[in-house]
Amino acid sequence: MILVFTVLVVAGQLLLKYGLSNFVVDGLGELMKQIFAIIFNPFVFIGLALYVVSTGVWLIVLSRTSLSFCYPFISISYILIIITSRIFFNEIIDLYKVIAIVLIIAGVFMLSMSRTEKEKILVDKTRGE
Amino acid sequence: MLELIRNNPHTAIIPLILVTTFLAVGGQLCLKQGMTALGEIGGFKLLIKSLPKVATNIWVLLGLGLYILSTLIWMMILTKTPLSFCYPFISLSYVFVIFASRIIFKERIDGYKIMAIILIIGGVVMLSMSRS
Repeated sequence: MILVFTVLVVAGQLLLKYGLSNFVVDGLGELMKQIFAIIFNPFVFIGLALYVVSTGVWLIVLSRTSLSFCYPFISISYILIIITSRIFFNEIIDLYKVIAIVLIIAGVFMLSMSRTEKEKILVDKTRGE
Repeated sequence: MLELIRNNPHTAIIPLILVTTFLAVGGQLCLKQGMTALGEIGGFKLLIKSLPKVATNIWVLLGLGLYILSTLIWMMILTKTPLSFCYPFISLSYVFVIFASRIIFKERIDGYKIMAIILIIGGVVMLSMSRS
């Protein structure tokens, strides 16, 4: 389920990026002027739809597991985005980007090790019983 | 290092990326506030049933508004920068959430979170130096 969420997020971003690369937009006012043309671009439309669906999946995931369990899976999205934007958009992946991703993923793992007070109480309870 | 960031053609877009991330976190917090105030909604059917109450809650509306604004700005950013450059900046939302949870919900910031903040900000600084 979490992996479905991650794939949906990445696919949504790729479609948005692909659809939007046909538009030249300077400033938010310019964006609003073209908003209907942009939103009804098929790629942007499906991308936004995936956005909404992934949010729904995320809510279901959160109701079943703890946030700290989900975090490491989310960090997969950063790796996927880097790889896919290289493949589909021929973007250049330099050393800065690679180091950045490694640091960010390490940070996200740190977050997953930190437990909120509520989760700690839960863990203590299950240990005690 | 500062020189690298200053001379980077992408640097002009970074404030906008920070704004959209900040707005998304703000929207998320408003939604959380509104949904918590409405009480537990178990299951999708119950959500549909209580939709009138959800859709008229001021926090939920504010949250959705911020979300939409953040998405619009995000779309504008995507027209200008490579995805592999702007996407990892979203990880800053974790940092914003840690600080917001401290201020609003009085949650403790432990050693792991401090490490997470340092690593993520370090990663974003690295990213800011990428010219491609």
